[in-house]
Amino acid sequence: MIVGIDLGTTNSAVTIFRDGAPVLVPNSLGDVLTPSAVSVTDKGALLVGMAARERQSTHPTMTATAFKRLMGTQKKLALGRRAFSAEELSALVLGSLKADAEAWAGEPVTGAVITVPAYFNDHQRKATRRAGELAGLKVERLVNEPTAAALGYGIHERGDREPFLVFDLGGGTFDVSIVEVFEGVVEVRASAGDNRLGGEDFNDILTAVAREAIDPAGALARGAKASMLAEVMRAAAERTRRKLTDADEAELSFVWEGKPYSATITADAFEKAAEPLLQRLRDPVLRSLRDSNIRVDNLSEIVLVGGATRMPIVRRAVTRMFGRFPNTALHADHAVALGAAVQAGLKQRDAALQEIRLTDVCPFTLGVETGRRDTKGGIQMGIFSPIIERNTVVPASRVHYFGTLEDNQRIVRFNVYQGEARNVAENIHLDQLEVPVPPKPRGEIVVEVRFSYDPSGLLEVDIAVPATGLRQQWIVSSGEGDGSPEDLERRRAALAALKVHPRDDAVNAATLARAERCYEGFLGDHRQYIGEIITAFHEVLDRQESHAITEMRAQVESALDQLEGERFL
Amino acid sequence: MSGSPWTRLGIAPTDDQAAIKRAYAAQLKAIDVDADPNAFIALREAFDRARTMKLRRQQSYSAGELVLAPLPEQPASPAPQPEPEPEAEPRPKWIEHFEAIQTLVYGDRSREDIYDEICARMARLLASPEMEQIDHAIAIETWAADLILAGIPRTNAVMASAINGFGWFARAEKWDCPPAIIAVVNRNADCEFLRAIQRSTGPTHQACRLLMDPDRRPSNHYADSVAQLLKVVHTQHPTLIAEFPRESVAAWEALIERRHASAPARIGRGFERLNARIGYWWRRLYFNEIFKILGLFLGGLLVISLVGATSGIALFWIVPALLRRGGRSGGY
Repeated sequence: MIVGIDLGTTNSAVTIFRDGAPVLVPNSLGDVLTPSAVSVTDKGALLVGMAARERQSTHPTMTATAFKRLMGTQKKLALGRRAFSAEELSALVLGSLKADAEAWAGEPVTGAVITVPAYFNDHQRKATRRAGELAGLKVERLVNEPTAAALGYGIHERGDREPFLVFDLGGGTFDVSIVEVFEGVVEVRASAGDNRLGGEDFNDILTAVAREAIDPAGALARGAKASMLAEVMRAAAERTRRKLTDADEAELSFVWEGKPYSATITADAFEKAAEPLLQRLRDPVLRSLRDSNIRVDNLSEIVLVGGATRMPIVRRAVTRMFGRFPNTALHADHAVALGAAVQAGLKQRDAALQEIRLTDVCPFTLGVETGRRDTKGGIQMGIFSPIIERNTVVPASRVHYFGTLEDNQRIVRFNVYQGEARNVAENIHLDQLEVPVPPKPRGEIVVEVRFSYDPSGLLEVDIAVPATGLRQQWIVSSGEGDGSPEDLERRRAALAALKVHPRDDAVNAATLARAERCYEGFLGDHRQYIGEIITAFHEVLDRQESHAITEMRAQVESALDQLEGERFL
Repeated sequence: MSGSPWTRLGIAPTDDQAAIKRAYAAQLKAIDVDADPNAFIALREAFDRARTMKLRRQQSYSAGELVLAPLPEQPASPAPQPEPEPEAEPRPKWIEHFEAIQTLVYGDRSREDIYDEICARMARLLASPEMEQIDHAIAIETWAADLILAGIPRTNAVMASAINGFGWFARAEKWDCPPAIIAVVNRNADCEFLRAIQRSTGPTHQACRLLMDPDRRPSNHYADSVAQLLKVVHTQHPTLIAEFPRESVAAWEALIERRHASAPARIGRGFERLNARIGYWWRRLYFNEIFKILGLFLGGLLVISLVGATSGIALFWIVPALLRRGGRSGGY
């Protein structure tokens, strides 16, 4: 069975294509969304999902969230005694989703289609692929998030659709894709995005606004405690941001070192502070329209995807940009995951999808570094020469020819880059390749460079020197941390050896973590009341009677719901 | 790729986009893209070619229309109308600014005279609420780049606000930036260079002032610094040449040309060929070439007379003295 997985910044989801339709798989808590959070308990066991998320403000040094933002970097996050890389943390989330899918469907998961932001670069894609392998999944394909959303949407009615725009603002990344559907072919025309723009940034803005009102001098916490306060405020900001969805103003309140603090934030103040972020939404939209050569008038719809598009300020910005109201028919949190299941179905050649095809584009430009002679006769290097231009339909194959720059040059070196800047230093370096050439006056030797790029993100470079008949082929690897199969296997074993909190107990762990967070977040009678609930719950848990535990858990949850409003994902 | 795209698509040549898409979809379903990427690449190329064959005809037609629109002869031509407004509604404010800017740029009023108004109009055009709409912003952006280029030097005033408003600095760094935008950014750099010279002191500043003044007759004294400035302008900041009065540039260039062809200049170049350092000092001397030659001549005379004097002394005093010593030593 191949599953579809939406590995998000804030939440993740796993889906299965079954009986001609994609289905969301509930986790052990019964939710279809699993928070992308990992936490280590005092006893050294790993918690993944809701329980980990709830511990974020109570145990910030033992908990990691939003690690998707670190994908493709070497940065490590220390959780207790062990340091984890972003791909290992992602692997733990993927592993938990895999277990959920196996428990629900009753058959082993062999492979997965994992979604990534369209604008993820090569390093980030490879890191995601490795995360899948570390979780013991064969990654059948990485599919771009807005493409997945469009796929789920596009096959819905089986009709042709004029080009529409998918506006995907998630927890940490922003993507735009322009998609067209004809004759069962879902065709992506262009994608663009911003890897560092999402709901988390809006939380930061809210936190900054609240800080201005509560603690302008930054006197509440200093040094090591400052990061703890930041976590507490971020959790409060998330709640406030959700309240601002339906209200003109909302309280941002939290408890810090036994004292309550709160600030009232109006929607107007929030919108004003978030203006720079809203401005950044325009650039990818402009780029995708320019690249696809489509005017806004010719777009049939603007489809919103991603949790952060629920914010009224984002919806207003979209309306102003396009001069019309966006389509909000898709479920902002589920659309990408459902599309991933469709892609998994296509991969398995599901009979229901026989007449459906998907073509996607390469959202960034791939090319090599070149040089040229300046007026003084010196050689100026560092000029980016594109070979596969962004938004080319993949698989694609393109050839360019380059001449030698020096007399009697013996070697031609190609640095492969990904990016859009004219100056290669601002692009991402992928690999360096060299071919020998016979010594001749400059410009006489011509080297043929062919780039072939496939939908799974594999870049193959063929270099031919017609003068000598030499032909060489490379698979471009981005060097750092790619690792050998043995290395990967060793890391997988190390991860598998970690003690994971038992799955059937996850729901209790989540409730306990929530109760503990509430204990810290309330004062006086409320705090005492929550303390009593926690003690009672512990007692029931110790007796290990499943029926009593379930009953007690429901009571605890409803008590907490009454205190702080319903739990959200 | 050989062969006609129509053979690969399996249809007769057509303009009908729907038919091309239908054929492509049918062919696409017949191949397994993952297993045979080359088949897909060939099919895709055929599809793109079939589509652009039609598109190209359409595009050249619409490009003709676009070129006609902002010609100077018809400054009041309507906007590329992102929002076609019915007659009954009041005209949006931005059209007013848009038309006013065109009238100012292509009008008869002097550059200094229109400066403030054109700045204010452009600022209000960029701040108009319609700019929030993507299509409108794209249309205005294209128009602004073309207008600024066409209106040099009268559009100097609005360059900075357009560059900041549309983020052209960042865009000019991209490999696929449209040439018009790169040209505007370069033009802006040229103007910055000019302003830097005007603020500075020294020979380049002086040369710039002389070039700017059409009443000033070219003089040999400043010819070298003006020549140097003109060389930098021509090679690195070509658009700046329009900033100087044409007759003034012509007069200076004629002088420079005359001097270039003169005998002293030839001698100077001879020195340069002989030795770079001597040539450099030769150029550095802020004298008329005639004086340089005269100085050289006098210097030469001095050297010759010095040499003559030294050799005279040697011949008539030192040598006989040595001879006398030699004669005495022989006595030992």
